[in-house]
Amino acid sequence: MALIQIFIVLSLVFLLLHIMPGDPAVLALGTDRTVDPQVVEALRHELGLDKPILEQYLIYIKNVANLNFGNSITDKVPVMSYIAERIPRTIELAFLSIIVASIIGVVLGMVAALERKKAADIITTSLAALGISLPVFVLGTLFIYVFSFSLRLLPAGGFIALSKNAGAHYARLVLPVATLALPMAASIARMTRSSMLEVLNKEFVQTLYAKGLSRQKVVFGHVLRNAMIPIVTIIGLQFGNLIGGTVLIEYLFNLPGLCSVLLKAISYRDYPLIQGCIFVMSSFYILVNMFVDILYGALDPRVR
Amino acid sequence: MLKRCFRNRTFIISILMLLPFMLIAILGPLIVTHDPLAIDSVNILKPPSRTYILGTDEFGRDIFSRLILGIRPTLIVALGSTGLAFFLGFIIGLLAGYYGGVVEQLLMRMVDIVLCFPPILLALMIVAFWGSGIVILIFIIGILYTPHFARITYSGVIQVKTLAYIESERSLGASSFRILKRGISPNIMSPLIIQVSLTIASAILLEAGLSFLGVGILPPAPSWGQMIGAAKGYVMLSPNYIFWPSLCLCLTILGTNLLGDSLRDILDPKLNNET
Repeated sequence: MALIQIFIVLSLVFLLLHIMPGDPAVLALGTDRTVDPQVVEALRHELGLDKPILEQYLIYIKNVANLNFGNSITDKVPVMSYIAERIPRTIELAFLSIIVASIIGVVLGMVAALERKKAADIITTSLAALGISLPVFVLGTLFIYVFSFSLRLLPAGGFIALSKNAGAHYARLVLPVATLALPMAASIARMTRSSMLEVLNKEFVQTLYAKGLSRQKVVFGHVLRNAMIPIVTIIGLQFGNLIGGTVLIEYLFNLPGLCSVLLKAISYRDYPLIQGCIFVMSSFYILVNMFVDILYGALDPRVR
Repeated sequence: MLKRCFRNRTFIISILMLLPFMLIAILGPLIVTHDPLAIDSVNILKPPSRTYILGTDEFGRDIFSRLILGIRPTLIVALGSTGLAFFLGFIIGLLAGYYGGVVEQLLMRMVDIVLCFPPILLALMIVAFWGSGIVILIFIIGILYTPHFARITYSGVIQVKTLAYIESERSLGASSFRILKRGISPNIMSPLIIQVSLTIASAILLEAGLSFLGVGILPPAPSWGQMIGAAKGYVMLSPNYIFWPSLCLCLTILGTNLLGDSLRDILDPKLNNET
């Protein structure tokens, strides 16, 4: 299933790039100045654009199957080496954020549900409503302003390799991860709260209390377990936002990750590089969705 | 119905938050004090003064006027794309749910394809090659949110279509079109209305994000996301330049989200006693 989806994405990317008005070769060389037609022709030949479209498509699919996306137009570096260099940084950012967001979100959501209509609940729900309305780039700029420029506590971005200086590496990740995680934590907290409340109102919870189980055992052993499916769903859905978020965050914090390569590729219309980035990111997205589906089965035997 | 709306506190708050923005969007050109594109190269990044109520940006343009006129493109893109997504998604969901079989497979799998892409990536890619602008943004964002409406409509239709009153309508000789229009549509509207307000909020967010990256609404026309993107370079020099567009953007999105929440409470009686 995931393979079929990835195949569809690939074909669509190919189609989109070929029905776009304008010749990629001309676009890459710059539309505003007059380019020597021979240079265009040479680039077209190099990119294989002078072959019939069906043949191009088959070559493209074959190359992708071998994970070969050709060379970047701007600096002739193989697209794959770009991706291999950049992808660990983006994945690190994404996973740290989703982990932080899940922990904060689930804990706050649980507290809110258990303390329903008390101060803790009201504060959490208002903060969550605010959190889902804050665009990441606004929150990020605010963090940079407060923590880097005014208080001078944390660096405003940039990147230092983990092997060079681990402390500096993580210090530069604190703000981006916090910026990405907080709005996601807000959505997760909202979903956790409503899902927990729904389960807490069920009769079996009363039975468990009547049977003499402690509140802890009821909440962690039974309620949370039953409330987990919507929570997992929303965490899975957050990955879509996460990919959008990393694009904005890498741009804002000057992180040289995969998304910033994509943005650069788009501004230079470097289309082998665009294809490569989109392919990797969409595949990642599809695989995560598949993983979430598998998790459902593990959490709820009825789905299996 | 309206009475129930006004008894809901969140609903009133959200309307009070959104109303000023709606009015400003309509009356915009009457309120502005300067031409939003006029460059005053002597007064660059100035703090608020009598001539420039909220100060000036990096080209010496009036921030207040740009802020006011920045609402329109944002709202047009958000409403237009949500309208498009609703229209397409509703029709796809109705047909797929009502006819089932091959029609369902064809339409719903088509919808699933859109969901294979992370939204902002597809938007970035199309914008990169087709250029940007209000019409293209409406089109892209509309397509991106069609699956949500299609799925909600679809699940509504398959729940309603087996109910007895639809059967009786059919046995009275009603055409498919009449059943869809009179029998099914009105009864599946509530979740769709909630989705409309949530989609508007997401669309504003996506448009602002694209404009922030410089590929949304094209400069020099003003838009909030783009103002934030430009202002982020001058945070220390002129904090109020970034403050105002950020505040407006957050308030609009918060207002729309609250509206969605309150509509959910009002329209979904099952949840009424819970929240």
